[in-house]
Amino acid sequence: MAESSLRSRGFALWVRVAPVVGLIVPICLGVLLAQAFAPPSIKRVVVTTLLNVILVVGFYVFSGNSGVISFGHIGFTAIGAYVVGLLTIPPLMKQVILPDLPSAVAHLSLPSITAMLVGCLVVAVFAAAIGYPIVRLKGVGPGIATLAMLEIIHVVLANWKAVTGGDSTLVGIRIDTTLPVITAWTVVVLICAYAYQTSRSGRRLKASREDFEAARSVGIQVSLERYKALILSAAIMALGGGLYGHYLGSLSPRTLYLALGFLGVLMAVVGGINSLSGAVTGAVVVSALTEALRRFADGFSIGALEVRSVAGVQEVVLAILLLVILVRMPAGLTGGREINLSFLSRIRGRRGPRAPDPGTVEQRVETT
Amino acid sequence: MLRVQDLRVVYGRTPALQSVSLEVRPREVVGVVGTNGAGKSTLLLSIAGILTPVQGDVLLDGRSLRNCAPEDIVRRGVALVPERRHIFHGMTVLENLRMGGLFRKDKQGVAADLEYVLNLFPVLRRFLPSRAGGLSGGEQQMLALARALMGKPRLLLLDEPSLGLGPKIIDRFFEDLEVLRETGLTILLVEQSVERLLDAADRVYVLRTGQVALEGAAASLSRAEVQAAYFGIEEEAGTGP
Amino acid sequence: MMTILQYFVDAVALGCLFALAAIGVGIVFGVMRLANFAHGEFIMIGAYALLMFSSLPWEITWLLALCFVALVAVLTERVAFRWLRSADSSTLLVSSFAVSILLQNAVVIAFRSRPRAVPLPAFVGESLDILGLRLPVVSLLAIVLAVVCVAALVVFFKRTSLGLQMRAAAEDFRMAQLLGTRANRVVAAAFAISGILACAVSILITARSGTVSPTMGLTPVLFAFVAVTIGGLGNLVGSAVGGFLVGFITIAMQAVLPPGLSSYMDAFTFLAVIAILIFRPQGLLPSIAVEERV
Repeated sequence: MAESSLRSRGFALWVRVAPVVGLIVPICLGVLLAQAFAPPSIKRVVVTTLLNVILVVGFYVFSGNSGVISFGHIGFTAIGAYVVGLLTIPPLMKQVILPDLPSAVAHLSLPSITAMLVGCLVVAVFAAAIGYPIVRLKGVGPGIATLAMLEIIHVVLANWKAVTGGDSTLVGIRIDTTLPVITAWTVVVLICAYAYQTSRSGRRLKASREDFEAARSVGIQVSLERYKALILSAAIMALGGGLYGHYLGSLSPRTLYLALGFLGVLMAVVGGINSLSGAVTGAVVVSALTEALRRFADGFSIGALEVRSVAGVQEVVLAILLLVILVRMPAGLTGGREINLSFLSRIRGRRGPRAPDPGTVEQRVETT
Repeated sequence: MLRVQDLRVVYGRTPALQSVSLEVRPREVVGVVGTNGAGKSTLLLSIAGILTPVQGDVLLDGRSLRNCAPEDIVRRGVALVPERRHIFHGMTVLENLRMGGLFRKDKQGVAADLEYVLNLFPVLRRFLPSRAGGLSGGEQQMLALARALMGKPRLLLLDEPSLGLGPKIIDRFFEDLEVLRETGLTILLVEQSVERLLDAADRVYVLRTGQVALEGAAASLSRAEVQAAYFGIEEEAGTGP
Repeated sequence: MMTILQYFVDAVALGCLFALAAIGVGIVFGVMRLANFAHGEFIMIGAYALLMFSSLPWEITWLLALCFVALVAVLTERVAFRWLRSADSSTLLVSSFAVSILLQNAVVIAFRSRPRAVPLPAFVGESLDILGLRLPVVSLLAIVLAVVCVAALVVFFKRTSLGLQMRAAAEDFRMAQLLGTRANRVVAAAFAISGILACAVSILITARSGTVSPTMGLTPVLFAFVAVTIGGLGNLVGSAVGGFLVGFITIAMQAVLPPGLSSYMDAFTFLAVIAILIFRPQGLLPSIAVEERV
C-alpha cells in the first residue's frame, strides 16, 4: 500500500542519515549553549575543539576508511594553511613581510571562503599528483613514506623564505574563524565525510580494510579507492589548516609539524579509528582532556596549597592514555561503531524493514 | 601419550576445529587426513602451542599443554615440522641444525645427535656450510626433519611433509619415517594424500570441516570408506576404489 | 687537497655515526617488525645519562651511561611494547610515537626543556696530527666506536647461542619459538643491544655539540629511519650501509651544493626514501625475508 511504503522508505532514509545527524545535532546544541552562556575562554576551547574535529575527521577519511595509517597527514594541513594565509593577507602587508613573493600572489586578496576553497583545491591537486604510488605501498611503507613526505613539506616551508617567510612566523592573517564560522564548516565536513563513506567508493574502501584479499577477489581496486580517499582527506586537512591560520592570525612551520600530527593520530585512535563517530568522539574527548590538563599544569591553588606548574605532564598523560587504549581497547572508545539513532524510530512503534546501517562496521578480533 | 580432548579452536568468529578428540599411543604412527580447510594444520598448531583453543584440552602424558608457550612444549619433547618446512633460508645448514638443539642442556648429547642426523641424511653433511635457502625442495625437507630431530623429541608432529615435493622424494621421506619409527619415535602425521597415509600409519583420523568424520586402524579401513568420509559423500555399496 | 681529505674523514665519521643509529633501529625492527620511533629518545636519554654521571671519570661515565640506556630500553619494551607484540606494524609505529612522546616529556619534567651543556673529557676537543692532516678526535672516535660495535655484533651473531636465536627470530619468529627460543629473552636482548648502540650515538653527538636537549633525538631517528629504509628493512648490513651512505652523502652535499640549495638537502634525502619505497621497497641491498611477519 502506498502509505506504508512511504513510511518504510522514510524510515529507511532516517536510518541512513542517523549516524551523521547523531553527530551534527549534539555539536550544534553544544555550540549554541556555548555561544549563549560561555565565557570567552570556553568559547575559544570550543573553537579549537572543532578545529581538531575537522583535522581528525580529515585524517579518518583516509586512514580510518582504508586502514592505512598516514603519519604525514599534517603536511597537507601545513600546505593548506600557508596557501590560504597567503591568499588572504592584505597585499600591503605582503609587500612588507614577503617582498620576494611573486607579484601574482602578492597583489591578491581573496575573501576567506574563496581562499579556503582554493586552498582545498590546491592541496587536493597536490595529493592527486603524489598520492598514487604512496597508497600502493604495504606494511610499514606508507607510514614511513608519509613521514618522509611531511619532512619534505616541512623543509620546503621552513626554507622557502620568499614565499613563506621561512622559519619565522608569518603574520597578518585575518582572524575570522569565529564560533559560527567553524561550526558551519564542521557541519559541511561531517556531511562530506559521511557522504563519502556511505558512497559505493567509500564502502568498497572499508571492505578492503576488513579483508584485503577478499575485497580484491571481488574486483575492488583497492589502490584506486585509497587514492580517492586520500584526495578528499587532503582537502579536508587543508581546510582545517586554512581555518587554523585564520584563528591564530599567524603561522609557523614548527607548529604544523609532528607534535600536532601525532595529536591527531592520538585523537583518532582514542575515539576509534574505524568510524566517523570515533573520529569526532576522540577529538572532543582529547581536546577536553588536554584543556583540563593544561589548566592543571598551569598550576592552581587549593586553599593555602599551591601546586606549581610542571611542563610536560600533559604530554605524558596523553601518551600513557594512547598506549593504554592501544593495548586494552584498540578499537577505541566507540569500538569502531557509528552512532545509531534508529532506535528512536522503533520506540515510536514503527515497524519498517530493517535497513542495513551503512555506517556500522564491526571490528574483527583475531585470536591467535 | 598424547590425548586431544574436545578441542575447539576459532579464528575470530570462524570455528576451525569444532570438537576434535584423538589419541596417539607411544611408538605409534597416527595419520590425520582431510581436505584444505578441514582443520589439519590448526590441529597441529594447537598441539604445538601456537594457537590457543577456546575449549577442550591437549594432554601429553596426562599433563595439560593448554596454556603452555610453544617454547615450553618443545622442552617437553614435542617437535613440529610445520607446513612448508620453514627452514631459515639465510642461515647455513649447520646453523639450522644447531637451532634445533639449542634449548637442550646436554651439550654432549647434542653433538652425538648431530652426528646421528648427518648419518641419517648424508646429503646434508655436504651442505653444512652452505646457505639453507640454496637447497632443493627435498633437501630442505630433510633439513627440516633433521632439525626437528636435533631436539630429541618423543613426539614428532609433521604437517603435510609431502607438499610441493616430487614422488621419488616423497617415497624416500616415508622410508625415513619408517626408520625413525623403529627408533621409538611417536609420530602424528598430517597429509592430504590418502594412499600414502594408509600405507604409513597405524591408525588414521579423517577430519572434515573441523570434526573427526572417521577413525580407525589403517589396515581395517578401505580407501573407499576414507574417501567418502574425506569428501562427505554417502558411500554407495559396491563402489570400488 | 687537504680540504678534500678532511671532508672525506668528516664524511666517513658522520657515516659511522648514522650507521650506528641505523643498526640500533634495524635490530629491533628485525626481531619485532617495530620501526621504533622512540629510538631517538634512547639517544637523548643516553646524552642525559652522560650529563648525570659527568662528575665521574669519563670511562666510568660512558660505561654507566651504556648500562643505563640499555636498562631504559629493556624496561620500555617490558612496559609498553610487550603487550603489542602481535600487533601490525602500523599500530606498532603509532605506539612507538607514543613512547617517544612519553620519554621525551618525562625528561622535560625532570630536566626542563632548555638545552644544557655537557662536560666532556678533555681529549674530545682535540685534534690529532696524522700524516700532516689535522684529524679531529671526534671523527676518529666515531670510526673507532663503529668498528668496535660492528665487530662485537658480528661475534655476537655468529658465535653466541643468543645471537643465533636472534637471527632465527628475525627471519621467522614463530619457527624460532617452535624450536625452543624464548621470545621474551630474544626481544629483551634486541632492545638492550639497541640501547647500547643508541648510547654510542649519544656519545658521538654530545662530543660534537657539547649540549643536550629533550628534542635532540628527533633528527637522528629520522635519519636512522631513512638509512634503514634505504638499506633494506630487516637487513642489518643494509641498515649499516644505508646509514653510512646517508652520513657520507650529507657531508658531500654540504660541500658541493650552493648555499641556496643546501638547506633543502634534507628534502632530497627524504625524497630518496620515498623513491626507494616505491621503486625498490626491499632496499638497495638484497635481503632474506622482508614480508610482513605473518
